[in-house]
Amino acid sequence: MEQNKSGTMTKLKGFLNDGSLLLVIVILCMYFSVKSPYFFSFKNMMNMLISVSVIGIAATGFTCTLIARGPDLTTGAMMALSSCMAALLVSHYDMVWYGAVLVALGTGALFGLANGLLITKFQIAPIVVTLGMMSVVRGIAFIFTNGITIFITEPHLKWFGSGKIFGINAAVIIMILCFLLLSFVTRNTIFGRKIYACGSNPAASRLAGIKVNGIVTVLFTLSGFLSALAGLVLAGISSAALPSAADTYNMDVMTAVLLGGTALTGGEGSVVKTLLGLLIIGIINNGMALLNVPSYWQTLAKGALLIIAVVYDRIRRMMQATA
Amino acid sequence: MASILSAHKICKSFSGVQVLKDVEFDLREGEIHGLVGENGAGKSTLMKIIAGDYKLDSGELRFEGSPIRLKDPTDSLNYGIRIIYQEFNLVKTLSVAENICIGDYPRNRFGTIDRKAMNAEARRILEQLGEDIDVNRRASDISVAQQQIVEIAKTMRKNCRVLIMDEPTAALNDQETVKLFQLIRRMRDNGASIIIISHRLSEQFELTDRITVLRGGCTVGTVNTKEVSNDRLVEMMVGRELTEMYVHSKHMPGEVLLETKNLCVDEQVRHISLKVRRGEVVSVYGLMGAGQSQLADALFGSLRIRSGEICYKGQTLRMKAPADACRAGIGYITEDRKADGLFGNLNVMENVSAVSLKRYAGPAGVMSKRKEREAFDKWVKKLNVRFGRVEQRISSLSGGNQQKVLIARWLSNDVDLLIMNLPTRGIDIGAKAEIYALLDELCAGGMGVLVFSLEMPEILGISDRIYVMCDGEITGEATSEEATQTLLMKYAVAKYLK
Repeated sequence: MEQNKSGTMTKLKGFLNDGSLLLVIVILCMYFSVKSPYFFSFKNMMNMLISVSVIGIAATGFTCTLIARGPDLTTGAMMALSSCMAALLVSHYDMVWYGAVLVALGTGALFGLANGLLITKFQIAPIVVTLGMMSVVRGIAFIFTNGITIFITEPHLKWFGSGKIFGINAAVIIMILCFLLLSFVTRNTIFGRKIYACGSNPAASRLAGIKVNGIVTVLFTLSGFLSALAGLVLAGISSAALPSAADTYNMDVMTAVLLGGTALTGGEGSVVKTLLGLLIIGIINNGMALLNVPSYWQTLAKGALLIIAVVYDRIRRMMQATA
Repeated sequence: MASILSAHKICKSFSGVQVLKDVEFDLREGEIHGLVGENGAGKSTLMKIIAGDYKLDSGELRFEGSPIRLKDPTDSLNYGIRIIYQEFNLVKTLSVAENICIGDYPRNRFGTIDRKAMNAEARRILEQLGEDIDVNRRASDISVAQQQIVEIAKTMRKNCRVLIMDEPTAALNDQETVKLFQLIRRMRDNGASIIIISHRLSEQFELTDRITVLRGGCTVGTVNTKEVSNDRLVEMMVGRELTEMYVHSKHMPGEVLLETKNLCVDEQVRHISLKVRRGEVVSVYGLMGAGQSQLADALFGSLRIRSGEICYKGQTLRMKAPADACRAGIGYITEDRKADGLFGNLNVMENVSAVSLKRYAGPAGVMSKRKEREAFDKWVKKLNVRFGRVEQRISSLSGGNQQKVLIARWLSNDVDLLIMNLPTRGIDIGAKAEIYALLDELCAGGMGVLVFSLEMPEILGISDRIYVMCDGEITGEATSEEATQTLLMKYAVAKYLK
């Protein structure tokens, strides 16, 4: 009787919750496939994935910090710094490639750790700390390189962007691995549960024996590390490292994460849905480019999409609230 | 006395769930009318309909005998119907005067706010209420009791025929309550009709002329306060006789679980020495603000102690954070469920397993959903938690069920000692009785329970031993056989008498 009706309602709501992003992707794919036969080819799909890989890698870490406490705005600047460091250490300081990679990743983790400690020790809002750190890191990138572009000739560093494993681009594989790993961690581990608990209610988390500060610090460290990794991929793809790179990537990362439904208020969101949000951005950019829509329109579409998604989310919540 | 506001055959549903069914309610001119019922009985919904906040599905509201239709809250304001919610609607960053005159500030001839006139107006209204509050102070800087007065002053500014107050004394101490009651009576004598929603039956008896009881969305009846007994009222509320509200059986106390030796937390809480044994319910009573909450926090490692010693199972327990208490096997239910107990946007199961995650995980920290689900099923069944789906958000559960979830959270971690601060705050009578029975059962199973409570009947009903605090120190101890309300009160004011 009632059971059945509420069952369908539940399914419907479940779909509104989880299925709608997928539905948007399917509709977009169908539309662009009809408009351009090239769209759904393996080559084009791979191009699309490569184009979002840098944002995607950083977005995995960003999702986690946002669920637990707040946004990590250092992301874009960190990408620039790590790519410059790796490139410069190899080309100007003759460092062996893996040494340079380790230093770059370590630097990312270190600045992430600094963010985490500032946020937890002094209880400052993450948006403030990471905004400041964004400028600091970007500044270091400029000072370090003297503002010049460094071209990458070292094959291993190039591999991060253009290497192939079983015909699939390394950048895409790295991104997928990041998504798989963090999705597993957030869904299936104790640590993952604690991330959500911290974001949902820090005071209650503390009283449930969860070391909130530790978790937040780890997450920002992780986010710094992943941003640095994204920076290496970025350098690999473009075969160059420049200190002014990735300056709009913060916003792109945030757009993907919010499009995926992670709440700014914490405690809610998922890494998998971030992937869906990311794909939507990728598909729109790629499809519009194929249809020769000027890139200005892509920017507009991305923004409009985010607003539509957030409005949609509000409506969904209002429906839930009355239920 | 003529009827000023009445409701007839009011029905209201929210997405298929009927919350009110043919509710009858009648408010007479110049009376104080109490509205009681368990949580979820429909009191708030009915009041929100009267205030124009919700639209009714069917039925009729009449104002002075003629039918009225309320489309939104502004309509009800035009009839002089005002409501003060339990959570105040003051703008904390504005001054007292700005809050009182909000929405309709006096203007000067330039069209900007005439602060002088505004302050004078606010002062005039507060004077009428017999209150002296500095109108220039920010709303965040005045006491809760004063905030309540400001709320009342807000309603008084425009013609106020009907005033609805939802749990007006929830945050007030005893003297403040007395003062508020005087004020409410004075407003009645000036011709206002007042509806008081309150769980506290003693207040209903003290203040009201008539009382209407709601149960499960239906009107049980309206009675003259003078002609009804406490027991009868409770019976009307729960629909059954609650002779066995408190369950308490005697158990053999075992080893000492918790012992504090001359514990000093801060300036306020000093020289606390107490003991809790296995198989015992030990309670700490005190008037509000006697330091119970600080003590509870300190025993769980949430507040650092200054000196003295906390021993647990015979060993000194040094705690830097609550995590240390969790590890030792202590559980803590805080006084404010919503603020520091629940994970509001997580689901029921995630709320239960928040502390015991390790039990469902392998060495790498990977959780077994099956193990978690098994434990969850076991505990919600044992505690009779009522919910729809596991995926349901905890915030959608009733207060009683939320509290049971929090208890399940600790029990699933096999705690030996459960500290509960205000264990039945904001919980309906049915769920209260269940929680009392549960505590008794836990003690029979060898656990120790330490209860901090402000409700004397509750303490007398469930405890083996009672400590009483006054002004931050323990001023008395009594066994359940010795304890009486008079004795506990004597201890509770001991330091104020000298």
